[in-house]
Amino acid sequence: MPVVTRSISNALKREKSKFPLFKLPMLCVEEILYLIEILDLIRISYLSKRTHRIIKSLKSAITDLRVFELGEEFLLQFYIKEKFESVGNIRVNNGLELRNKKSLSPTVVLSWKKRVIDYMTQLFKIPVLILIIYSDKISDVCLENIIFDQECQDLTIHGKRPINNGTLEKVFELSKSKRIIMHVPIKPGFQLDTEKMKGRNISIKDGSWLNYKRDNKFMELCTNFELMDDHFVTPFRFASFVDKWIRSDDKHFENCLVTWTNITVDDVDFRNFPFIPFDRSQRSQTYKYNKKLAIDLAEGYDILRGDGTLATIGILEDGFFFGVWHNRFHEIDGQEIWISRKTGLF
Amino acid sequence: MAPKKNSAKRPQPSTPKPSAPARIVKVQSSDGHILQADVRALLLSSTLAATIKGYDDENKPLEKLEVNNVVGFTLKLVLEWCEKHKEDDPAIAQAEKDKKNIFIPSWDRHFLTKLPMGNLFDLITAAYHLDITGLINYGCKTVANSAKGKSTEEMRELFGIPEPWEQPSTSTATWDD
Repeated sequence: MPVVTRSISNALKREKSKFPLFKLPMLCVEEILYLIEILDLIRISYLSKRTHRIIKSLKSAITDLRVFELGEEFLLQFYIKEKFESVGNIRVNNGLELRNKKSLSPTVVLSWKKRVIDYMTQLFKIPVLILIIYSDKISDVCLENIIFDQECQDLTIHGKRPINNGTLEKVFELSKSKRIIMHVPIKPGFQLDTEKMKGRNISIKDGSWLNYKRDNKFMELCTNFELMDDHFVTPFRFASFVDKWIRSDDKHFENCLVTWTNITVDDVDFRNFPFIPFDRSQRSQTYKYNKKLAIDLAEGYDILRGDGTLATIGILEDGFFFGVWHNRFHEIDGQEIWISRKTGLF
Repeated sequence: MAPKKNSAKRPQPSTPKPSAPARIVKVQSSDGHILQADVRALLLSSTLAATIKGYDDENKPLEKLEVNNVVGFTLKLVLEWCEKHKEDDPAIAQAEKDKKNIFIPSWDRHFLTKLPMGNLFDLITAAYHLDITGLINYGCKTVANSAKGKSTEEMRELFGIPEPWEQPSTSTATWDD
């Protein structure tokens, strides 16, 4: 075949292998982009301003972004409505696809991460639902910066290394998250500013750092709290908290879950509480605690406060649940169910 | 032989209706090619179905349908696809329209993936003009699958998106700028 003919034939073959996506009718373009996987969609989005604009304008199935902060790198997970499995993971290393391979200062890396997360949240018009920080892999200063920079609905800090008291104060001061989950050892002597807990859902794995200087305000200010192995909120204090709630006109408290591994819950006296029998017409049997957990309170102990607010105490294997029925009937959709039991405490 | 059980995932064509004698009509492409097709296959296209209904309502004899915006080669592919799917329940294609996970049956997968991307482009455009939902669904899913795992540069090449410095000044920005 002559050279000219061969080169024309090659050019034609190259043209035939192309799919000029944006020359298709717009409805077809949208259909293809809807069907493309998330990671491929992100790659297409930064090919040009136009591709970015079109993808941004699409109605996205993605509802939720979770960020796992792992120090040098971080992981982004995308979720679609009502699915608990991630539909796309991106592991970002020292700034996504950096052209410049030189080592970077932590500030530059942080700024890159912030840009990447902002890019994703804007592209899919989604909030950062959960920010999970592994504190062993980052310095306290970096931890403060991340919390200061990144808004999220739920903040979780995991780690084995104790966090400095000053940093911990900053966590509560800087974070705007409604729910804070602390799974890190905290140095003794930390003075908790209970005002910073106001209206928040706090979950603390090891509450032994909380000392007796802290007053019951912590429990009163949170809408929800979850304490594991907390030596301050003993079964007696829990009973006293419920008693206080009965006597109050509090409208915001929702629920709490308190568990211990080394304390027996069988020596607390609830006998003076004004319990009423469980009535299926008054509330559902199961209380939806969160997306993953529900408590079966068929054997729970109901309390009807003077203003008509109904609450239930559930006795669990290793602790107590106390939930207020602001909504009397909860719909359960796939949660793990813990069952409360009858006890001789009442 | 025992009848095959329906797979839960795979969309199945509806039970074939008692076969009526095939009604064959001529279809002319924009470049003058004349092809023949069963009317039941043509009814998968909402556009052609409306034209056929117009003829039937007026009791006019339907001898030739003109498809002005599809060339002969592409029209042949469209008719081949429609012929294969003429027994399908149109509700299946409609139900799949908004799904993120569309299952492409093996015949369609083979039919669509063997085509060069340029021909697939023409086929999807034709399916859009003729309003054939099932073909649009499978065609778009095939394109989406072809992008899977490709690098940015491969995507740029596949979808014919010029490099930033080749783009007009209003659309030169990428993530990096």
